[in-house]
Amino acid sequence: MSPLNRREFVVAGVAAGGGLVLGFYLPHGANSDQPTFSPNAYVRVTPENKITIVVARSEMGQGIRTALPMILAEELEADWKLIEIEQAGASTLYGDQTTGGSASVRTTWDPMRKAGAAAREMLISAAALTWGVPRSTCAAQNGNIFDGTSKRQLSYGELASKAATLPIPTEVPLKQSKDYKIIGRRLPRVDTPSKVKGEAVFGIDFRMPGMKYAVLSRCPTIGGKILNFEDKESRKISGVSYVGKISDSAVAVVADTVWGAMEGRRLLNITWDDGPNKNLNTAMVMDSLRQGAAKKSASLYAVGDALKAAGRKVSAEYQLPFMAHAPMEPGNCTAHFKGSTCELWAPTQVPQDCRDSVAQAVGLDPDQVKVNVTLMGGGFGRRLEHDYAVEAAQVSKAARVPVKVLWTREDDMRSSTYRPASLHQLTATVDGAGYPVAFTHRLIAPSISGQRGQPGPNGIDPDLSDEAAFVYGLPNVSLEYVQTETVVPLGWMRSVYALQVAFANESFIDELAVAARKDPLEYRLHMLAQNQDKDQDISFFTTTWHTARMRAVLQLAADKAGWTKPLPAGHFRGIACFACFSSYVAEVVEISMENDTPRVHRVVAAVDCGQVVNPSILEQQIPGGVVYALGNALRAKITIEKGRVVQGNFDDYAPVRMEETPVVEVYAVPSTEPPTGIGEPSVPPLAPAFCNAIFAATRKRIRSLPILG
Amino acid sequence: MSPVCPLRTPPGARINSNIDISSNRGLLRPQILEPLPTAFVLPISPRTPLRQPSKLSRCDGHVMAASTSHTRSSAFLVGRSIGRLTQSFSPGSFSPRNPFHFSCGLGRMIALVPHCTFETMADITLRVNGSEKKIGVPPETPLLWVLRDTLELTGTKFGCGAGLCGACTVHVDGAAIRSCSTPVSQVSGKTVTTIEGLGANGLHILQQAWIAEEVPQCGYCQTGQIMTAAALLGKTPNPSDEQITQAMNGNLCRCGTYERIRRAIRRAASGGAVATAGAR
Repeated sequence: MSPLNRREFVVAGVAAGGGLVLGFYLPHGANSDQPTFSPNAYVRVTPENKITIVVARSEMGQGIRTALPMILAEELEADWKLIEIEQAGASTLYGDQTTGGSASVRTTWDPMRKAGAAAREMLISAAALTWGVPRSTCAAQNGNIFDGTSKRQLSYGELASKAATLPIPTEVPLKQSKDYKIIGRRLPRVDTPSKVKGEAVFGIDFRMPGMKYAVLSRCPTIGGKILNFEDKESRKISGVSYVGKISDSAVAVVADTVWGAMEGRRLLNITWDDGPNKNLNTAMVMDSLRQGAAKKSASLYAVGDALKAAGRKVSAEYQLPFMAHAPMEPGNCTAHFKGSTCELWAPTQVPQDCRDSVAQAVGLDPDQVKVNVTLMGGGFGRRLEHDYAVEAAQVSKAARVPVKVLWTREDDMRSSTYRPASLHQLTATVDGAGYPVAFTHRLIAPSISGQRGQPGPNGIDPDLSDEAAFVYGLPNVSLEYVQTETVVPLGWMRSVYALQVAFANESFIDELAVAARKDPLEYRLHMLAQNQDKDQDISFFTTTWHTARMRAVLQLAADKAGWTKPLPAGHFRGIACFACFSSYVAEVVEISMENDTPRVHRVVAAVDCGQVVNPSILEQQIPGGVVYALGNALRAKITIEKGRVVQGNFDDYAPVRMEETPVVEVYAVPSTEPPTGIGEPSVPPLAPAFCNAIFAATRKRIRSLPILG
Repeated sequence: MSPVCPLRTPPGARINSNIDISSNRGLLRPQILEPLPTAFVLPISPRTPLRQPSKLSRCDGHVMAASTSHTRSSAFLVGRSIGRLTQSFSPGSFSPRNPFHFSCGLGRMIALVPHCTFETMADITLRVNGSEKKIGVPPETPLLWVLRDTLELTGTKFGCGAGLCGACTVHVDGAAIRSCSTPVSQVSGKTVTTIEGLGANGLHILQQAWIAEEVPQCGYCQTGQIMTAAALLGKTPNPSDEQITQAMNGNLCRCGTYERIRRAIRRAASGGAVATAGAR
C-alpha cells in the first residue's frame, strides 16, 4: 500500500461476506479552518480534546456502541472517559454496515484497531515534531503523548492540529494482547444510563417538527392484494389527514397521533383479494418439506463416504416450525420525503439496504437518501428487513409530510418474515462400541436467500456456511441440503439455520449415546478426542474448526455444572454443543418435571469466542441468547391458516417470562485468538440440551419443536 | 339564541340531546350513549368559513365549545384536529362575560365563544410527574399515547397494545398500570408518574441499581420494568424472590435480562429505605 494523502485514506478490512471494506474519507476540517484531526472515518480529535469514535454498526442491545469503540480506543491509547460515541448513518465509508451474523466485532476487529493505531502513530509523530525529539522517545498513554526523556506531555487535543497535517502511515504496529488496557475490561456500556432514565431515543421515539403518524392496513393473506377500499369513516377521525393506498397490498392512514391513525385504520373498509394462497395452512407447508425429502440433495460438507460405512444403521427425523423474531419495539421508521431528497430515521440493522430500497421505491438515487440510524428495541434479525423504511418513505411522499410509520404488535407478528420451518433426516452408522463411523444429516428447508432470488452457489443457502458446522472428528460425514419452496416470507432470525441444525445434530448424538449406553458428555468428548483442524468450506466461506476448542468448551461447561456430581432428587441434566459464527458454545441444562411440564433451573454455558472484548457484555449476550432460545424451544410456533398467520400478540406467541427463566452461568475460555461472535452462538445448543434433559427425566425423546405444542 | 344545539348524531350513535342552553346557565353536559365514539364535532380547521357550520362528522369528542346565535358564527366544537389550539383551551375560560376567541395558525379567527360550553369527560386533567396537564383528546385514547404523543414523554414504551408485555407501565396514584390499555378518561384527576418523573430528584434507587447491575441490553422494556419494580418496592420494600417474580412476571424482555432485573431489585431493596414510588 503506497502512502495515501488524507483525502483518500483507505480503511481496509474483511467484510462479513469476505469482501474488502474500503472507506474513502474526506476528513473533517480538510478544507476549513477547524484543525480537527481525523485520519480516517472512525475517529476525530478536536483541539478541545474531544475524541469522537464513530460506530458504523447498529446498536440493538448487543453492546456494539461500547465494544467497537473499546477496540479503537485500545490502539489509540485513549482515555476512555473522554471518548464520545457517534452513530454513523448509511455511508459508503464503512464497507458493509449490515449488523447481523454476530459479525460486527469479528469483521471490524482489524479495521478498528488499525484506525486507532494510525491515529496514535500520527499523534506520536506530531509530538516528536513539536518537541524536536526522535519519535522513538515518545509514547502514547491514556490520551497523552509523553516524552520519555524529559517527562513532557501533550494531550491529543493539543496535538490535533499538527497531527492533521501529517501523512497517514500505511503500516502501523498493533498492540499485543498482554498490553491491553481497555480490551478485556468490564467497562460499563455507554448506553445504560440513558436507557434506565427513559431518555434513549429508539426509532419509535424520534420526533421532528410537523411529523405525523401512520399505520398501515396490510393484506392479512400472504400474497393477497387490495380489491377496493372505503375510507369515508376513517377520514372522519379527528386528526386524520391522509388515507391512501401505498402499494398493491397496503393502505396507509396518516394522523396527528398514533391513536388517531390506529382509529382511522380500524374504520377502513377494505375488500381484499386473498390471492393464490388463501387455502394455505401449516400442514401443507410441512407436507412440502416431506415431499422435498424425496428430492436429490446438494452436498454441504462431506468427508469419507457415509454411504459405504459398515455397521448398524440408526435413523431419526426432527422437525421445526416457523418462528417469529418479535422484538420488543415494533417495526417503525420515520421518513421525510422532500422531493429531491428523502431522509430517514430508522431502527435498522441494514442502513445501506434501507437507503437503496427507499431510493428505488420513491424514485431517487441512493445518494439522495440519507439514513440516520436510531437505537433499536431489539432486532434478532427482524430489522435486517427494510419494509418499514420503504413504507415510511412511500407514505411521506404520498402524504407530503414527515411521517413515522408504526407497526402494531399484531402487524409485527402477522406481516413479518419467519424462521424457516425445517425437516431433518439423520442417519448414523455405529460401530460395535456404539460410536458413529458415519453420520448423515439431510436438512430439508426453504432458503431465505433463495426466496429472495439469491440462492447461493449450488442451490445452497449462503447462510449455511456459518450455521451448519460439524466439528466432531468422524471418518465419514455427509451434510446435505434440499432446498424447498414456500410462499411464507422467510427471514434471518437469531442464529438462523444454526438453531435447526444444532437441534437435530445434538439431539441425535444424544440418542446415539443413550443407545450406546454411554455418558453423553463422554460420548461427545470421545468423538472430539483427536486434535483436528477442520476446514469446512460449505459455500463461499471457509471456516477452520478445531476439535480441541470444542472439547474445551464441553469440558468447561461440564466441570462448572458439576456433570459428574449427583443432582437434587427430581432434577435431570442434558448437554449439547455447537459451533457457529466462528465461536464454540456448550451448554448444560438442568431441569425438573412439574406436572409433565419441564422447568429449567440452571443453564451453564461455556464459550470460546477468542479474545473477549468486554466480559460484561459477553455475560449479557450469552444468557440473552439462552433465554431467547428457551422461548423458541418451549413455545415459539407460527402457524398458517387460510393463508394467514394465526398468532397475533404475546398471548398466543408467548415469550419466556421471569418465572420461567433459569439462572444462567457463563464461562469463557481464556483466549487471545481474534474475537468471534457472541450474539447468536448461545442460541443453538439450548434446545437440544434442554430436550436431552427432558429425555433423561422422562425417557421421552422430543423430535419436534416446540416442546409445549 | 337558538335553543337547538347544532349537534347531530351520526348513524348508530345517540346523544341525549337535552341541550337547552338557556336552561343550563351556559354549561351543558351532553350525555353520550352507546356506541362510542362519545361526541361529535363540527370540524373546524383554519380553512373553515366562519359563518357556515360544516357538516357534522364523527368526533374524537374531547374539548367542545359551542356558540349559538350570539354572533355570526354558528356553532362549533374544537377537536384535536387543531391540536395546538386545544392545548390552551380551557372550559373555565368560557363565560358570558369572557367571550373567548380562537385564532388559528394563519392568524384568522375561526371561532368565537360568547357564553356557553359543553363540558365533556374528554376535557381531562392529569397530574403528570408533578405538574398539572390539561389534555384534549378523545376520552378513549389510551394513556400511553397521551403520554407519548401529546405530552412527549417517550420513555414509556409501546410493546403490545394489549396489556401483555408491560413496556408501557406507569404509576397511577402509585400503582403500576398498563398505560396502553388504560383509557385516559379513567385516570382523570389522578396522579401519573412516568419514568421521566420517577427520579425527579436524581436517579431513583432502582435506576441506580439498574445501572450498577448493567441490566439493559436493547433497553426498550426497561423503563416499564423499572416502573413495575418501583411499585413493588413501594408496597413491599423487601420482597422475597417469589414476590419479585410475581410482581415482574407481566413484564416481558426479549433480551432475557430477567436475572439481572432480579438482582437489581434485590440490590435496591437492600440499599436502605425505598421511597414510596410514584407518590408525587
